[in-house]
Amino acid sequence: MSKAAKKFWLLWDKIGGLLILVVVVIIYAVLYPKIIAPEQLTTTLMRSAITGIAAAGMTFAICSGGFDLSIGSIVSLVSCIIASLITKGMNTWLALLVALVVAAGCGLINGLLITILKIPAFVATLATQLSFAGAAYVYSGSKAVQITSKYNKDLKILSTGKIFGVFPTPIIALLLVFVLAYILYKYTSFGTKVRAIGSNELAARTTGIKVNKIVVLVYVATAVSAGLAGILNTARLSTGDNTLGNGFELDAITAVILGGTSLSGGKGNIWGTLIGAVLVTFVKMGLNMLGVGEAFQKLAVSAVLIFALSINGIKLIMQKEGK
Amino acid sequence: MNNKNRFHIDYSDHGIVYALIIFLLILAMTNENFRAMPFYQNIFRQSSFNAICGIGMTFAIISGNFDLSVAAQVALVSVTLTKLMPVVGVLPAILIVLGLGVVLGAFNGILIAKIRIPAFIATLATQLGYRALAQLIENTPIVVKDVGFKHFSLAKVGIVPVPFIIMTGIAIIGTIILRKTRLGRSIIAIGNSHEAAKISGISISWTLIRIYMIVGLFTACSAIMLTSYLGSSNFGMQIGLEFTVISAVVLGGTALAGGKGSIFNTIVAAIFLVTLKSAMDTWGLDSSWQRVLSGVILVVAFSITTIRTTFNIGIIKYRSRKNLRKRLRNQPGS
Repeated sequence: MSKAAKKFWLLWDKIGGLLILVVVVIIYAVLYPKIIAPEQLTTTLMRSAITGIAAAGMTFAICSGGFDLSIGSIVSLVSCIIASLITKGMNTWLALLVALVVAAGCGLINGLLITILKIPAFVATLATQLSFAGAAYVYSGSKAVQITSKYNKDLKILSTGKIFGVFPTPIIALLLVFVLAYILYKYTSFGTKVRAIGSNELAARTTGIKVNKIVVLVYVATAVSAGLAGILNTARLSTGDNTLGNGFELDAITAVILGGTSLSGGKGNIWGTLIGAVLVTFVKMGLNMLGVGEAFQKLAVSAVLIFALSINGIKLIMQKEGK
Repeated sequence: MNNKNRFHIDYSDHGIVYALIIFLLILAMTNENFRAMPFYQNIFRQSSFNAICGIGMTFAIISGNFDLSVAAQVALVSVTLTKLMPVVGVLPAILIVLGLGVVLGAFNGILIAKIRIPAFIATLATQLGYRALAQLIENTPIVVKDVGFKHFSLAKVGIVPVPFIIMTGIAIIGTIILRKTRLGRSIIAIGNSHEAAKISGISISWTLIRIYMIVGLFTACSAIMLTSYLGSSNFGMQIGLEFTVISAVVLGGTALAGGKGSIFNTIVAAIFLVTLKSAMDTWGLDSSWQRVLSGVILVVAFSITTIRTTFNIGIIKYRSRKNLRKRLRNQPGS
């Protein structure tokens, strides 16, 4: 690969997502100027908190060379649990804690399947996706539970509440999660070990890293972040719905890949993921506002994902040929 | 010995066959419904659809790849078929959608082979796209009007349902491709070792594209028969089919890592899964629990390799210890 191409890819990894985001924003602004009105932008950011928080966890999973397809089902399960517990009269914060513990349990199952039974990550999480969604159905009796205004006072804080009266809670939550994720990724031994496992698991094992423990932790973290996303989404809709998370994993994965995290593991980009999440949400909401039908929206998400993957693939091919 | 090798039948891996026989025996003993002929005809008919799809998937998994988009392919093919049938007639419509299946498969193959996207995530993305396309073509369920088309999957030759006969034909073709042709050898070689296959001069990308074209073609066959069986189509049909098909392939002993597999076992496993499902229906297990259970079955299927390896290693350890002890005991002077 020539020097210029190398430089280009290096730059692309850093700001590619941002570049696409700017282009998309400009296109939308031309088509439908209302989209970049401040309050609409705030709504978009609030909405992207849901995808973004889950994508932050997913970045670690993909960076460790793994994958998690079960997060959509975890979102559904969490949503059902919260709604049913709250409408039964449990304290909201306690219910949220229970939901997060359940999510962590799901992550633990994923991690153990991957490390103890040595099932490849994406297959294992494909199977648990089915089971967790099934669990959501079993738990909720296959119907949505409305959280009435009698119960959702505390939940409202999470959806439309503002901290210090200015900053919307979801955006603050999003930023907090990403700062935490960045510190974890960059400045702790956990982050270094995750990267080591992602680039060469055998080498990581040989250097004495407790690979199994780290991998289990990664999947627990991914599941908990999915749980948080589920909480925010449930709060937004005030409904416990067992289909809430259908296809959600695709959004998160798209965000991570658009952000420049390498699919082959070992190299993550936390802030890129944040931009990717905003981008995915923006594309979806923009299409929604333009009045494009549901089918076209799905097609667009699929096209964006294929585009992001293709860039990743072309980069790999060029790097291989350069050697 | 030579004869055995020529037909390349691996007798050691027929666990699923015994499992099916034992399961059917248990069912026949517990409930008289499971002893009636219609029950078996139904099972063989219903399992044909999954089995045909599974034959294609066996190819993909033997090569060390995957296809998560089969369910969406079925939906797209089925919707296109029902949409085209009143316009161009039954037979042309069937030919067109068979072509469509090949095209959908080829698109997957190109993404995987040429642009080097890992198979599972490429097909995850196309799955969404294919289903969206199906929804774009028609948003509401379409009912099949042609009576002849509707009846052919319900027909029987003697006591054997027609879909099962077609499935057997496709299975024979599939087995011949896998065992007797250059393409089949290439697929197994790629699954065994990507690098070795490349060095020995196999064109990896063209083989991969052909694999996915086969998957697309067989999936389209399955979709056509399913449309005939259901008598209607809609864009949301067969959600989760990929899980059933992958379960069937893996339960049939095809290694997830690739390089090894048998179409016959896939079919037996598909029959096993349909039997299990109708047994669960008869026992009154509701559909939510069935979902949980199918996830668990998938996990069990995936972990069989690990469990078997651990077990084998355990046996080897035990035997070698025993031998060592025996040798020590027999040693003169000890």
